[in-house]
Amino acid sequence: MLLPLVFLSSCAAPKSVQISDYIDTDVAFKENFRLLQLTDIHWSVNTDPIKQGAYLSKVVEITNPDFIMITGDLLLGATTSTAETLINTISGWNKPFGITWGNHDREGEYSPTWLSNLVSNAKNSHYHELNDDVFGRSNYVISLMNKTTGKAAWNIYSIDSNSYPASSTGLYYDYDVIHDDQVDWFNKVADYSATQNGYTVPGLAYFHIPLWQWMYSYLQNQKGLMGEILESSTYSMAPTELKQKFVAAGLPLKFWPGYKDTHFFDAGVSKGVKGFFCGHDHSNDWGGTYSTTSGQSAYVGYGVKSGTELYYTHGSNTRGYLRDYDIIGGSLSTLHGDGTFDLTHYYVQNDAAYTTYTEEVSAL
Amino acid sequence: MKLTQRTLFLILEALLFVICSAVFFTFISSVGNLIGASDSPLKRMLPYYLSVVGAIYLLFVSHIALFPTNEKKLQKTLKINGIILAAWGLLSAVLIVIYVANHTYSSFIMGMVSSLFPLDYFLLDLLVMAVGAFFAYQGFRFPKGAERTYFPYEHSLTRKIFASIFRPLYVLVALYFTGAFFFCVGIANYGSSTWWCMLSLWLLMGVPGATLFYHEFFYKNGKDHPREQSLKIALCALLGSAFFVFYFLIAILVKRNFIVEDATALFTIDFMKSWNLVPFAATFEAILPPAIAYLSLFISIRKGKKPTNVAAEKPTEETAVK
Repeated sequence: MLLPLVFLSSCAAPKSVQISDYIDTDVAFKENFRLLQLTDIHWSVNTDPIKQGAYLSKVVEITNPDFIMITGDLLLGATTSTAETLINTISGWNKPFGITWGNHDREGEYSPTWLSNLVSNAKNSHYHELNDDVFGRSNYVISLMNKTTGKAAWNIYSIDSNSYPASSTGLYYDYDVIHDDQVDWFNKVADYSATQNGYTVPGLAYFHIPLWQWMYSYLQNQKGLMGEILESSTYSMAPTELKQKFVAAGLPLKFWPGYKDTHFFDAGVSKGVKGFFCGHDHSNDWGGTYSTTSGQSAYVGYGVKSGTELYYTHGSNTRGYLRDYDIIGGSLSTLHGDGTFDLTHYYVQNDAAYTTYTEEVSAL
Repeated sequence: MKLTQRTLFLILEALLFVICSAVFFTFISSVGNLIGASDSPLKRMLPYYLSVVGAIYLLFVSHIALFPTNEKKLQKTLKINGIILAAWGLLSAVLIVIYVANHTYSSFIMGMVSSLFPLDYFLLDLLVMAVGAFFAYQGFRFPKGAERTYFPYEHSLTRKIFASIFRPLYVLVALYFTGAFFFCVGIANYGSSTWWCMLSLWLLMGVPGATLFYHEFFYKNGKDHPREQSLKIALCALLGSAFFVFYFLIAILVKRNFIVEDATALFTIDFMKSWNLVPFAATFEAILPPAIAYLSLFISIRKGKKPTNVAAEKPTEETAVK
């Protein structure tokens, strides 16, 4: 019966945190900066770490990134051994990396604190978790610094899209969203960055669960700019408002977003975010643009599921041509000094030769 | 079998239960990922699954050997199940060796399921094999007419069939919750503001294991209980379980999201499917057995029938000691 005492004794009050504490300025920007998004790696107790580790290493080798952002669900039903092996594999690439958590990462045989410490203390990690009052854990910014000017060229925003909100029925969980206080935090940190640098720093935002703007964009233009919506089932428990929009359009709802529309997209675009990237729906690699009410637009899109763990899918022909390869690999953004970026999806096949297909969109 | 020996065997059975609970808890995560996988890892995980099944099978056989209904069945159980267990453990251990030899597993300590996998499961296989061989040896060199305690089942066939289905299911669920109970100590979200809610769930998850522990060590293993005494015991168990269930329900009503905050690690399959069912299953697992025992005894006393249910399973003067 010592557990309650331990629980009590370890209750700690949040420390005072400055907004500057959230910003990491250790990564240098260079023209054509290569930012790789890996997502939904999903290592578990069943994972063959050698095979899957070799695959992920190959994706990194092929894409040759300057920074790696992993958008959640690295783990599901994993042991400490599996988690350590994965983080050691990622550290071993000798590339700076950040992580934003998915809804499944905490579902393993470890405490959230243990996992955070593992990632925070890993070599090459730029994961940042402060003892603050902001909802979620992976809220931080990597400012890519122009060493010549001493100013930030780009901001990479990691925002925790959390996991599950309180269930309205008590029996079923929706997916959570980026909370209002996180949007407030984002506004503050983006404003602080703008003040420090003297201009609105262009940014890319990374999180796990898609915003409703993915669906709004898809409803406007199903082809989008790249990729496909290939989830095999429809989200029958989706929020009614969304379901009605898809029914009205005669389209199946094959997105798994959070339970409500948030202000984050508008806030992000108004603060210079050019692209929003998520994971979560393994079989979707689609992306398109969407505009705010004020007419500013930004790219919203899925990454490419990294590896074959849990479920993945094969390409289809909904873009007007047959994508005859597995939708696995990584998504590379190439950042330019003028505030634009190019996006390339790398579909690295799980065969002996790691045969690779690419799809690209320029000047976003 | 002397009392000291018997107590020792019961302690070993309890230790095996704890090991199986940890093994089964991880096994459920593995199965969850197996069900949802595009590329099935079943072939690669086969030795692991064989080890888990072998360990749990050993637990069930140990229970049957410790609480036999009669001499004939005890001998049969020891012989047949002993041979199967020994063969099962051997097969699983050999498979692990083959997998290491052909590099399906990179080494004997490759990690994955645990940091010592597959060595730890290889040793578990050896244990299953050794105990199986011991059981088989005891079965074949069975001294008939020796002094032993028996626990004859005296209910109807229908009830026996129901019991033979639901009791193993209860034990499997109890294994999972006991595993979660122990893992929770290591993986709890210490410092959480909802610690008192988590405490309710933690205590609730401990109830099935504690119920089985009491049943094996003190109730079924003890002296014969008169129906009235059994009724009191059932009532105490029911009230105790009801308290834990009530505490948990209050916690989940006050802090509806505390399971997401603090306990996602414990219910992997629930969260894979976005369900919130397992914590409520824990309430049924805690409350149903004492409720059924109490009602059964209450009705039998009201009707003035012979002792029923658990009380009737006590060793009687005629059957207990031969």
